[in-house]
Amino acid sequence: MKELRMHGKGGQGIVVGGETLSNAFLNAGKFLAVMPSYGVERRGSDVTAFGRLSDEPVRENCMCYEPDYLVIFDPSQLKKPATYKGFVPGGVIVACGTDPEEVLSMGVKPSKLVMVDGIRIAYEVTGNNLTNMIMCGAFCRAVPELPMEALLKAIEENLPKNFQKTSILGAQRGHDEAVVYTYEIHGEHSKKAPAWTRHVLACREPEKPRYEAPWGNGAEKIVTVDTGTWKVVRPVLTEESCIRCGICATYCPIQCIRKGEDGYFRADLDYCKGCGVCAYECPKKALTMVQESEFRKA
Amino acid sequence: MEMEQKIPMMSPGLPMCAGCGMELVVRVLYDELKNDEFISFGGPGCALLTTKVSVPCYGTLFTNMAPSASGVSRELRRQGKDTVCLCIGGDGMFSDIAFGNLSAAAERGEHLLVVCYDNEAYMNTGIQRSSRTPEGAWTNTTPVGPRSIGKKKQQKPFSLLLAEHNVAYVATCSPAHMQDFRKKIRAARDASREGFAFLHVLAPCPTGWKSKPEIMIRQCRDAVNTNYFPLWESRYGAYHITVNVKEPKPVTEFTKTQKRFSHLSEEQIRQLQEDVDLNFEHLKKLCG
Ligand SMILES: Cc1ncc(C[n+]2csc(CCOP(=O)(O)OP(=O)(O)O)c2C)c(N)n1
Ligand code: SF4
Ligand code: SF4
Ligand code: SF4
Repeated sequence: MKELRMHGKGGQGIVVGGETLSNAFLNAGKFLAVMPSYGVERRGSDVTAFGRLSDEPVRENCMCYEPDYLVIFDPSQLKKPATYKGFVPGGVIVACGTDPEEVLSMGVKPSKLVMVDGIRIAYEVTGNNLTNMIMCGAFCRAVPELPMEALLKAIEENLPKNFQKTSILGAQRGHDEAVVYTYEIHGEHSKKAPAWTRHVLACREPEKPRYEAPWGNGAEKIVTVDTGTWKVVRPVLTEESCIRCGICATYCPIQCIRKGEDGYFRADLDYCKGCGVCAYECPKKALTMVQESEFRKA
Repeated sequence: MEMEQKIPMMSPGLPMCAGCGMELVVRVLYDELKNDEFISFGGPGCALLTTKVSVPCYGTLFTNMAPSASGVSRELRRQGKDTVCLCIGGDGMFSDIAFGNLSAAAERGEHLLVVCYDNEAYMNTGIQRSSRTPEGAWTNTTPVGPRSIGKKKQQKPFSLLLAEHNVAYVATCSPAHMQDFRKKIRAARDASREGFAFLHVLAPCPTGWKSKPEIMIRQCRDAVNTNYFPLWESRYGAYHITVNVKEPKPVTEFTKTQKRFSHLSEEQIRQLQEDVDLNFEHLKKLCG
């Protein structure tokens, strides 16, 4: 049995992508059980899903801690250590991006790395960052057991009619435009015995209860999400047009726009989610929303 | 009017969708209260901030928020403090599930500052209809198909219902009218020291309204300019409109930017317009 983990952003259709792969494997006479990890899957936030691939029906439905396959649906996930956690040396990585070094520099040792410029294709095909079908196509390219016909059949049979044309086009382009790199891996790696075969008394030691009374002090417990990685577009200021009125700062939902010493208002890109409210409300149209990929190139 | 935060009150990165109206609402709320001693209460919903703020934040269930906060507020007052007790919740919480207990706290005149961000459905659980969902709107439980064409019932006028309890302060707010909104937060804070104060804030939800995130503020403005969401306040039952719209626009100005309304028929739009007009007439009568 091989294990699979998928990483992406909420709104990119990771769950649908996983289900489509599952149906595709069924068409190819194999079994892929997929399970999304349950949580608040906000548009833009990190989303993970798991899968198990076997010749027999799969009964286990716990999370995968040591995946043999990684599918990374968004370039923003490439630089996160959590994405590669537990990845088995010699496994296969299918990643949305163009530079294999970006993946290899994270210390993983795949035997095969398939890269595809998914975001560019997604914008060309659907006009947004929906990379799921493109990555499914690239996955087909990476895994010879899964023929492309099985994937296309799964799309035709299970996706709503109005998505089919773009889905098929995306999957086909993902398959055709993917670049395959292979590496030689030395040494054996054995996985830990899977959780369900071990004698487990309790899943994990329970966290110590926190005294969460209203009169307690909350300063040390603040949790921060790196929402800066969520954005697909970012606001760019044209200083000549700006009248330094601060309207953008008033309405930024994140309240991440601050006045600098030069009097101009600038967004803190570590937290900006790229919603575009500032640019829409600016009376002088001094802000333009520019694709993140423009900056990744530089 | 940018924020100056000496101590970070609230985490700079909150897990809400890009362009979420509620995120702006809670951030402005905390900013306006930053110089006061306050504690907050949060329940299930998109705005659960328990681990995201440095202010003590007490997580409750839907129905026990107002009762729990009432108890804490009473104890604080017994100790001679005038700490502001802030309760934040969605429309599903305050207008539906916890309405009874909220009404009871209002009737008792508890010293609470209750803020309801109204995104007009249960969003956290995946867009189900609430009593604040507008007529005709699509949600997952009021689908559009051969046997259903969106929600059949009108919105519950729940801020009016609360104001009718003759409490210290009730107001409706829109983030697009930022000065008015901030003024009302201060008024409600002061009122909560003498009795029950309630703010009803419109908070567009791009995910549930199926709209583009960047037009969030425009939607708030349109809602006011069409009289769909008039801005008023009431002190002990004395109503007063705070933002007068000279020439109200047709309600389609508000609905046309949202895909949840894209299926509306002429008849449904006419009905919605008629209700908007009737509700506004009613409000004008209350304002005398
Ligand atoms: C008594 C009870 N019923 C149902 C739920 C499940 N639940 C959790 S969040 C939520 C939605 C809350 O909706 P709303 O108050 O409108 O807030 P929003 O999600 O829109 O932010 C529901 C129904 C619950 N936690 N408790
Ligand atoms: S709203 Fe526009 S003009 Fe005003 S400060 Fe922001 S960028 Fe400058
Ligand atoms: S794009 Fe959105 S989050 Fe980013 S600075 Fe502008 S308003 Fe704020
Ligand atoms: S679902 Fe709606 S209310 Fe909830 S975080 Fe997203 S935009 Fe905000």
